[in-house]
Amino acid sequence: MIVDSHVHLITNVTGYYAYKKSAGAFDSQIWDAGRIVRLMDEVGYDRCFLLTLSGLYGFNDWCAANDEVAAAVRRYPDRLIGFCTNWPNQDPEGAVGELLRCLDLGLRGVKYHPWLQSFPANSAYLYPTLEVTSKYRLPVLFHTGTPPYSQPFQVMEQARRFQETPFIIGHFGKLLFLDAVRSAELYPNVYLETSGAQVADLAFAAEHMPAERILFGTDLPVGGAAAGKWNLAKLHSAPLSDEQRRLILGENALRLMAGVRL
Amino acid sequence: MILDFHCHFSRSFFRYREYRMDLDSLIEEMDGHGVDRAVISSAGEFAAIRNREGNEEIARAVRAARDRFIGFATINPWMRADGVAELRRVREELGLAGLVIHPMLHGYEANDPLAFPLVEEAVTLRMPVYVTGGAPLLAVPYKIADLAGRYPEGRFIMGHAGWDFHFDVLYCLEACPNLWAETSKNELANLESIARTRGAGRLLFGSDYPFSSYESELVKVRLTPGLTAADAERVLGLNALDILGGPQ
Repeated sequence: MIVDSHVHLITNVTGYYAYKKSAGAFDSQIWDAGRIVRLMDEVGYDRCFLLTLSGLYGFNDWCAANDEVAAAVRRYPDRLIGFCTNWPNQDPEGAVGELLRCLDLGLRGVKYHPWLQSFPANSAYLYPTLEVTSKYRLPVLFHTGTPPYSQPFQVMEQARRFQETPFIIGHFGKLLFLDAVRSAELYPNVYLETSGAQVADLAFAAEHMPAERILFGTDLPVGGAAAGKWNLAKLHSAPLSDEQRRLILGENALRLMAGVRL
Repeated sequence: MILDFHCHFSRSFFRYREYRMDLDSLIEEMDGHGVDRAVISSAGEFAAIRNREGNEEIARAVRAARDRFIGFATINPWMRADGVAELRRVREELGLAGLVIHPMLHGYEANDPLAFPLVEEAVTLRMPVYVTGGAPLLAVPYKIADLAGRYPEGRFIMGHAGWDFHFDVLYCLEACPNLWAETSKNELANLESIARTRGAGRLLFGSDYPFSSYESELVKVRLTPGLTAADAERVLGLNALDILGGPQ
């Protein structure tokens, strides 16, 4: 069972193109639900956490972006686990309302990208929505690894305050992997997602924290099937036991989602 | 022909955790993945502070398997004149072929005048300079490009292709024709951007072994869209031969 805990639905490339333009934007393509599922088939992934991309850009309609994720999940309920986003810094009350609306639509987690969304991950703007995620044990996935807005220890600060919410440190903290692992070591409600992790980082993590809180993730469809296969090779070559690898590849993610209380 | 431009070798060292390596296992690992040759430099405390011992160990490894290894010295520029002397020693007495500088490990900014005498000496000795890249503040691509731009006759390698600073790497490669990007640690999609905008001639395959795996790093380069089979051969070894001045 392979569950990818970090996949983006790309229904509108306006924001992505703006983000990537300096890097050529060769991969600025539409990836709708059908194309995402075909990609998962090609690389042998069973399920994924599906996150919006366009909703993470302030000039897009983020409620509409959540609707698109919900529609994708309705189309492929056995393959896609939908996450929503919201903008507490733009509209603190509206963010809670939007989160509750998304729960009604069948979405089961929250994605924040503090760098793109313009707030530090430890921002008090997030407290009202994190009250809701705590009540329902909804996982909250943060992009991390890009200071000053997206540091693992900022996520840990939220994890300390909201201990009923499972927090996922996206991209393994990238170059701040040491802080990501330390956060998971200190707080049992902190999970690490493996995209951005080096092989040596995985080895280090396995020695310092339970493998039960490491989730396989890729950031697909960025890099396409090639990146999907490469991420598997990375995990395959890391010094982990078969048991640890099985947990990381899928079982942990399913157990996490089974903890949602709705 | 596969030439790994960034591989570490020290027998026992600490880098976040304890590592033990031996030469036979490294060669076995390379053989298992069809890697013909590797540029090796020291790791852990031997890269950080015990530079002289580390460089000597690298030289011993090269002597033990000259057809497999090319040795690069790691030198801390805070050694100032002693560091410059160490570079001359490793070149003339030990036959090492290049210099690794590591701003993050040594605590200085890549374009700090502190490192200029050492880098100047490397350029004079015609040794390529590998700069471990991607650490914010100390080793961001712009700073490495600034350094490379000061010595147009030198050859510089941006370690890890600038790692997460992928927005800046393309400008740096365009501005500095004497700068190449080494592939380890970076994301496949970023390598694709470099290949498509700056050409496969600017990428050098590196494994960062033992911190990454040959399996993962080779799969990444081979699968990168935008690289034809001929391009991949350049990235995997031919570009490196040009930079190192042909087979040694």
